[in-house]
Amino acid sequence: MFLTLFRKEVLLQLLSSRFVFSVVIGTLLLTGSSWVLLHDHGDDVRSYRQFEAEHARQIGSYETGADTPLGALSMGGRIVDRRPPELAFLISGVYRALPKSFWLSNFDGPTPETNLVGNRLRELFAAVDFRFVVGVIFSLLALLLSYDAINGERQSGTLKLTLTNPVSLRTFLFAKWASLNAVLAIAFLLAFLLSLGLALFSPAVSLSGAGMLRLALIAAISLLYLAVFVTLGLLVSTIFRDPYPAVSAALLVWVLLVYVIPGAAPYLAAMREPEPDYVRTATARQDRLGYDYREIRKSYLARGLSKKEATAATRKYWSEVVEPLWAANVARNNEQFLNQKSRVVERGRSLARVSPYGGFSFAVTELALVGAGEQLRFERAVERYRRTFHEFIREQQALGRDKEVRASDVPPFRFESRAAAGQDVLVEVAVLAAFVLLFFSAAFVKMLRYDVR
Amino acid sequence: MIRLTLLHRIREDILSGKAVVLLLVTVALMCASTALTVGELQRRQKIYEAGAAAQEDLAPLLNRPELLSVLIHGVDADIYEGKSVAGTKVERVPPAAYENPLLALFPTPDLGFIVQYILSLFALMMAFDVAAGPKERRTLSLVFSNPVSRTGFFLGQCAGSYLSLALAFLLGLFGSVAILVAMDAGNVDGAALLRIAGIAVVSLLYLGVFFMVGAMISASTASSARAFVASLLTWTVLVLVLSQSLMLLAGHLRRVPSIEVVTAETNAARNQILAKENAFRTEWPKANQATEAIENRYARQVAAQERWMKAAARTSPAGSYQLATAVLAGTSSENAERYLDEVRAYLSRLRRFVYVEMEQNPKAEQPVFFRRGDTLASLLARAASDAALLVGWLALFGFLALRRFQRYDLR
Repeated sequence: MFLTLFRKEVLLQLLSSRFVFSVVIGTLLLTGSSWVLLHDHGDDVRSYRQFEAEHARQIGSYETGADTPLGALSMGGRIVDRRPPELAFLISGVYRALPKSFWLSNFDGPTPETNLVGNRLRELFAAVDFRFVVGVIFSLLALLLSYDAINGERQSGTLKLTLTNPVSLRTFLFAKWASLNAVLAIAFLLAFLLSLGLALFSPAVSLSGAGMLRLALIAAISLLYLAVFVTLGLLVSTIFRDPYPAVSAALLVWVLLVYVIPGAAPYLAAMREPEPDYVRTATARQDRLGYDYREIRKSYLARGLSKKEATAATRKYWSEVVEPLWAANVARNNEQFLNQKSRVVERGRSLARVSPYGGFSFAVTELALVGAGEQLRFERAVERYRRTFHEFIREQQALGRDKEVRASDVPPFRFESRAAAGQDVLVEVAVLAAFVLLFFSAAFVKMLRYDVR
Repeated sequence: MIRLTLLHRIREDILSGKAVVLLLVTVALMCASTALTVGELQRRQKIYEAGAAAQEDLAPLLNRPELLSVLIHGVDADIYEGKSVAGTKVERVPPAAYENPLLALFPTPDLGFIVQYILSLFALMMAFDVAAGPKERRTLSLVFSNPVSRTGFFLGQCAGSYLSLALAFLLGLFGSVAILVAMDAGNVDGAALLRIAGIAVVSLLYLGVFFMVGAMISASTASSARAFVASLLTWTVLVLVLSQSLMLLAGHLRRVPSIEVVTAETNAARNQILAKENAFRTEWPKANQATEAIENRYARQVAAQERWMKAAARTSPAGSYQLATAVLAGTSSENAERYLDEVRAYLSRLRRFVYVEMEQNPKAEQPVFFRRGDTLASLLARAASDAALLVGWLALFGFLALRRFQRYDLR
């Protein structure tokens, strides 16, 4: 009986105008946005390759010869770049909005490497990508498909008719739920596979095995996310006797879950002091702590050392006492900035999980390696590299201050993204599943005492 | 007769549970969002003041946070601010999202956002049964047994429902402004109040458009539930799909290189000039000219792209609304860009001063940064075209709605 109901429901929905609308809108938006993002991604990959080669033979942003004075390298520093994540063609995440290249030196940085400002209009309007299409558009369509599943049948009288057959209300509810999910999954997968098809033909994308696995996980989480809204629609259709109040209530909840809670989360998360402040960090780490080379040398001279001895003693004091203090000051400030940012992201993430869209956003952006967590891991790697760079300069200085080095001798920057990202999103998946379970059991309880008249 | 219908409708609506819920939700959301964004404004004001106090010579260059960014967040937050590094170099403070990456994930729920996404939905909820509702309750044919014109009845119905929505919005706006004043975030003077009034007018026009969309669909369908679903689908297209996707396309057709690519290009141009032996001292002005030329070209490219994207945004009322309110709040992209141009021009002037004039005349006077502010009249003039577009949408949908209702089947 379940199968009969299921088949009938799926067929009915597939032929409805709402479904056709969903498929057309969803497919057009998702393939269109992937098409544009694929071009951007291709540009990103090309420029990354170019930068990687250029920055390896530069001091800061200046061209260098074969051998460069150590002092120039120490002050001029290096620029390091982030490799475009392979799934950035699907989801923009924070990757597009945040700095991808950083400058760092012996006692300064990391500082975002660009002084230019691009197109500001993009900040005014929501970016159209996979996360927007599935998270906002498809979730709304899910509600529109399901808000009259039960009460619509009651209103038109077909519910009574169905129940004249040997079928329980529970089976009916299960069949409705399963068929609505199946229909929405068809619409989603159609759009998703088409946009993936576009990506396969693009030279910019070469998916690794891990990338495929991540894509599969993203698809699975999207289906779970859509199930939340299908179940919510089903729930309101059992609570309200008429379709109109049902869809109004569902919309209010949708606005709250998709826009209000996730929108407020970043601000609420940053409210607790101390909040990350880049200008403060950048100023504090440049603090030279009041040490003056000439003053120190003078004090040695005053103690009766000869000029030569005083210079040697000052140099020794400088490299053994002052520079480690500077290095510790830079590292402490950077660490503090990164830790404060991590706390904001963690707090915001747990706040945003209260809404399925928040959880979904975090899950898919982290899986696609374009999320806030991954950006922070990258920034931590840059800070680690700054220390490596500092150590390298110190080692070379120990061999002689006036030494010349090749820019290519400097240890290279490496950033490997996490191999296993599935565990990162376990909580989000659990919360989404809990939402489905909660809404469904509420609908189930409502259904037990449903007045079919 | 219009007056009677209107009064009846207002009474009916204001007393109905639906309107009360919508009113409470609206006022609560608007006040909560203002409380949230005022906190953000105060945070940025603190940073601005600390920066101005720490670097006296750069203080005039810094961008003072805009008061009305509380209502319309716009692109104000991460505008070019200055930090002195090595004398004449001014660095850009990275975008606010660099400090709080979550800001890049979710849109700011400011007042403009609430009107654009949430109140427009409410407008549909209020409007979808202006025609189909009385018909379903079988009162429509009864009404027309009296000497009532269809136009009069329809306009009365619409005006009545719309007024209760407008009341909710104005109450919410009043609450927001009260919070703004109470939390002492800045000086709300006459000009600011006039700009807020401008934002209110544009918002009411925008809500009117969606109200008329709802009324039109209500007058085209027989059942109110179906009218509601149809108006929701229209809302999805007008608010969520149309302007965003066309903007994506327009931006793609007028592609510009990324800022990283242009930075690399300026670096390469400068390095090429400075590559000569001992060029560091003599060739600096030339190197600066070369980088400035590239930066100016890039700014022109970006401006052209933005023109295309704005044209694409104006295909839907939501796009026009967003552009007009950002202009009125002083947080529009062109505002940010003009400021940047001024900073760039000043820096170029300053470099010439340091590298050329100081060499010739050590007592030369340092140029002063001058920021051209917006007058109220110029703000209103720039928002006028988008407001006119909204009036056009309103007239179009209003006309269609009236036309449909003239031929509405009363049975």
